[in-house]
Amino acid sequence: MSEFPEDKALALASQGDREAFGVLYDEYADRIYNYIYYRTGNTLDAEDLTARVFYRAMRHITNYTDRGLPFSAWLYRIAHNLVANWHRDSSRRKEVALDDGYRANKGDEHPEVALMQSEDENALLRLIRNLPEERQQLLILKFVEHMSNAEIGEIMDRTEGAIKSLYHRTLLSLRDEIRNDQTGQFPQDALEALDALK
Amino acid sequence: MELMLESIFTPVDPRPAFLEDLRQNLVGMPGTLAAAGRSTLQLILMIIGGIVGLLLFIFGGFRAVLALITGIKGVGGKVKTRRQPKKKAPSA
Repeated sequence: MSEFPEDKALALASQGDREAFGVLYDEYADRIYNYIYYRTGNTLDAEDLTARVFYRAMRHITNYTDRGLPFSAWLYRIAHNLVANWHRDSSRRKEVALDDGYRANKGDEHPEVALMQSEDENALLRLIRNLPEERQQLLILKFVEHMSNAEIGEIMDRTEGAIKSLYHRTLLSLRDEIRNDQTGQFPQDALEALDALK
Repeated sequence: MELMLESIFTPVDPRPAFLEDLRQNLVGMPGTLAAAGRSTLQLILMIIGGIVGLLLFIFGGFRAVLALITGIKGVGGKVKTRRQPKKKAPSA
């Protein structure tokens, strides 16, 4: 957003200026991709849905009216709707593991340590993916996008207080899910760490 | 719990080629402002061309009319009416 501010880019893009839309794309492409990636769990669908989000946004941006809703919230709503449709597609509801090397190497850990951490993370991600859709959305916006409760509220069309409450309930629910995990997939040391945090 | 969530929700990097291709598809065509600027330039050039063409046409037409008039004059000037040779009066 170095060339000109978002509101100017948005105004020009609303008049059909593709270059201005490109500025908005540069600003939000990574974030929307991340959001969709964590909602779908694989890069192929994340790329497909990210592209659809921006095509849809470009088609409808001329009708975009600034009603105090941030542009990012508008984009995330489009992304949310497309992901929801994607999940409704029964053929795609089978669980897909996070698949890529993007997450595999976060640092220079020993491969065995990295593998154990990866197992921990995948176990937790599986539990998160079983949470209700709105809770998944909340966690992704909070931890991937580092949004405040107020910003999340704008996207999810709820008050800040409601988001705060939902977040609290989500953490409790997740903690219970981890404790009650009967599959044994969740590592014991993680459970102990969870108890230590209590 | 939040620490655990922080650790698993690390931002991922989309493929640069994907981002670039998508950007190219979205923004590849020139922007409307640039297009508008170009069309304005084209319009100005068309108007200038039109004015120059019109002036040339008027000038050419004027010259043609002038040439026609002077030509008629010239032709008219050059045309010499042949006098009928006077018939000699029969000598008595």
